[in-house]
Amino acid sequence: MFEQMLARVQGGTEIQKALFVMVVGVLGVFLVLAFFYGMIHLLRRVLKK
Amino acid sequence: MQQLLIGFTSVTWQDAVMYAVGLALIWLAIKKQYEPMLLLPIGFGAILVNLPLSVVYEYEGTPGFLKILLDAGITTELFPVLIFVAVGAMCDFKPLFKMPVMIFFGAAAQFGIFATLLVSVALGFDLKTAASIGIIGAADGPTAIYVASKFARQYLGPISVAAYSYMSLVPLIQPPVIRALTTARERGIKMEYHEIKVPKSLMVLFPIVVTFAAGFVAPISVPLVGALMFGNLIRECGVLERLSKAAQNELANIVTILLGITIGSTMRSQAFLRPATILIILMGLVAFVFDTAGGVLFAKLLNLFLKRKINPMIGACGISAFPMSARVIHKMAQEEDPFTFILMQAVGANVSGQVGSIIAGGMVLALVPLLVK
Repeated sequence: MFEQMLARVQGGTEIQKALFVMVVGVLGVFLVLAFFYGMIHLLRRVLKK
Repeated sequence: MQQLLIGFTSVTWQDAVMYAVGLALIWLAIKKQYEPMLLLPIGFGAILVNLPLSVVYEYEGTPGFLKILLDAGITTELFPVLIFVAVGAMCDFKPLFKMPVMIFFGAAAQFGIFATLLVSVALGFDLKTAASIGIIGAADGPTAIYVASKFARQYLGPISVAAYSYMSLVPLIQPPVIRALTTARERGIKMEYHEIKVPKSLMVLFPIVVTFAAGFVAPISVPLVGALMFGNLIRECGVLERLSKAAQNELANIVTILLGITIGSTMRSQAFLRPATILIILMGLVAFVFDTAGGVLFAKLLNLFLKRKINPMIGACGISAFPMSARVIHKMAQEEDPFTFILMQAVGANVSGQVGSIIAGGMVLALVPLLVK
C-alpha cells in the first residue's frame, strides 16, 4: 500500500510531495518516539528486577 | 597604482551590505548575547569572505583557508557530526527517563518543521530547499546545518543564521504564541511530580538501543543519531570521564569555532543577497511559531481525554532549545500562579525535543530523496 502511495506521489505535484512528507514525517516521528517510550518503560521494568 | 588600490576599487555595494550584516551579527552576539558562540564567528566569517578579492575563500584558483574548511568540514558533514558527539556528551536524559510520557511532546512540537516545509513549497521553493528551511523549526542548529548541507548548500548561511538567531529568541517568540492559544486558567494548571530513581544501567543501555533502532528504522539518520548517542554513551558509561569532559569542552569549543566561521564563509554577497534569503529567515520564524503551536495544541488535545490535566504550556517545551524553553514556560506558569511548579515536567519535554528534532531530521533525510530524483 505504501509503495502504491509513494509511486502516485512521485508522479504528483510538489505540493502533493510536501503533504506526503508532512503526513508520513509527523507519523514517523510519533511512531519512533512511541517506540522509545515503550523501550524506556520496558527497560525500567526489567532493570528494576 | 591600480594594483595598489585594488582593495578599494573592487568593493561593491553588495560587499558593503554584507559587512553590515556581519557587524550586526557580531553586535547581536556581544551586546545582546544571542548565541554568541555561533553568531560571532558567523558574523566575522561573513566579513572575511566578502573582503576584496576574497582571498580567504579562493584567489586565482588557490583555495583559501575558509574554502578548505568548508570542503573538509561541511561538504563532508564532519563538523555537524562532531558537534553531535559533543551535544550527546552534554545531554542528560534523566528527566526524560523519570517522565517518559513527555516524549510525545518532543514529537508534537516537530509539527512546525513539516508545516513550514509545506508552506515553503507553496511559496515556490523546491522540496529539498523547503525541507532545509523547515528544519530550522527543529530549534537544533547542528541538525539544521546537517540537513541544509545535504539538501541546500547554497542556503546554508541564511538557514544557519536563522536557526541560531531564533533559538536565542525563544523567550520572545514562544510566550505570545502560548498566550494566544491558552487561557490564564490553563497556564496555571498544577502538575504532580514524583521523584523516581533511574537505574544507571538504563542510562547506559539507552544510547545503544536508540542507535540500533535508528540504524534499522532510518539508516540515513545514523550519522546524526549515532554521533549523538556515542557522545551520550561516553558521558553515561562512568569510565570515560576524561573523554566525556573533552567532548563537552575541547571538542565542542574547537568545532564550534571552526563551524561558525566556515558557515560565515558561505555568506558571500552574490549568494546571500537574494530575495530568497529574506524569505528563508521569515520562514524560520514561522517554523518556530508552528512548533510552539503544535506542542500546545497537542497538550490541549490530550487534556480532552485526561482526568489529571496537563499544563498545555508543557507542549511548547517539545522543541530542542534546551533548557531555555523549559525555563521560559516555568516562568510563565509562575506568573499565572506562584504555586505552579512545572519545571521538571518542562525539562522532560525539552529533553524529548532534543531527541525528537533529530528523529524529525532523520525522517526528512529519509523521505525527501524518495520523492526527488
